[in-house]
Amino acid sequence: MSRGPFVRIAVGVAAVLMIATIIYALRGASRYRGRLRPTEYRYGDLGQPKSGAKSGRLPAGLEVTGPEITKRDEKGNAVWSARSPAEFRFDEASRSLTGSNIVWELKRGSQTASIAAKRMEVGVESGEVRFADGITLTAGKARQFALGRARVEPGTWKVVGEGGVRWAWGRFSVTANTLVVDTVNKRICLRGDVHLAQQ
Amino acid sequence: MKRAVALGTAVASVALLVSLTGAPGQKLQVLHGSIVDIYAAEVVVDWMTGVATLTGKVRVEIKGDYDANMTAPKVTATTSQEKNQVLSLEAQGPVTIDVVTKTPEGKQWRVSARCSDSATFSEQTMIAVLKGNAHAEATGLPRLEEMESAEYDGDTMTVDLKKHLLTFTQAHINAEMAPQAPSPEAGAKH
Repeated sequence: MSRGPFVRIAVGVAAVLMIATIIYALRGASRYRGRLRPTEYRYGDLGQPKSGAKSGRLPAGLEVTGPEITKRDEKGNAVWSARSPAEFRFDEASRSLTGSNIVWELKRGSQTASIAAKRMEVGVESGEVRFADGITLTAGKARQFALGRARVEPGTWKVVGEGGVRWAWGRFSVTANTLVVDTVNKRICLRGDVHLAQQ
Repeated sequence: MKRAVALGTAVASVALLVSLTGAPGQKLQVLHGSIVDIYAAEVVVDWMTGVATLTGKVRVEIKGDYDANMTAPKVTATTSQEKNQVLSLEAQGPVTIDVVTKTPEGKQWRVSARCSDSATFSEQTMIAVLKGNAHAEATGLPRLEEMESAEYDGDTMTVDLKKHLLTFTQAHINAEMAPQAPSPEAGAKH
């Protein structure tokens, strides 16, 4: 009896297993490129990888609960949170978290500010939060700004914005090219062709 | 033909009242206005104190029964959110203030004032005070040969936009007046 057919079958099975292994490995590598549904991930250990997860893949300090993502500091205190009616996406290659139709809130004691924007991107390495399209920045009563782009500097927690900055300040309608809202020192800095016009 | 009047520099600090309405015996009008436009390169607002610091070719335009504008490299504004008002402006020199009056009689005066040190302006009182080498030129509009004009120099100058009054201290005045239409109110009071 010839062993040729058994060898061929064994080789075939090994080839199929090898291909399956490669496909599985490729899917694993692109696991975080796809959708990241907030309800599917909960990292209560502040970014420490869960058992079985590969180290460094998850944004450190980010906690996802339901439709909300919370950024916490090393002591576990909430720094900011963002809510979205849609979904958040985490891109492994660019190490960035993105979301759409976001409502973002700064939560640092007396430092409060909120941003509503159509798009948000969080740089995991830099900690910088960027916003674009249809931005409304609110930094307390009577301090609501409309602008095109904004970013929040980690550490200083200043909101830096640009692109058609508009502000209704008392009886004045204020326009400027750029805006910096310093939530620590409670200051607003408008630059570039600043114009206050009585409404 | 014009008549030139020159007055020496006041020895003591005196107030020199000059009516800009020009009509003899006319009562001083109380006019109203407000800041309607402010231009600057940079504005920093301290939202705890309500103080705004404006820098870079600051221009403040005031409208009412007159047109006025103030320019300075730096202006500090104190605001009141409750009263929805700019309480006061403090400009760092050199400061210029240009005013074009509009009287019911249709006669207009242009006052171009400047100072080297600083100036303050209150939106409530509509009074601007210019300090340090204050200089003003008042000209009847339109600028015709027979219209009045005057130049004033002083240490401090007060521009009252409600009452159409210029007040100088340590003043020197050089005036040219049309002989057929002298204004008894235009002159110096020592």
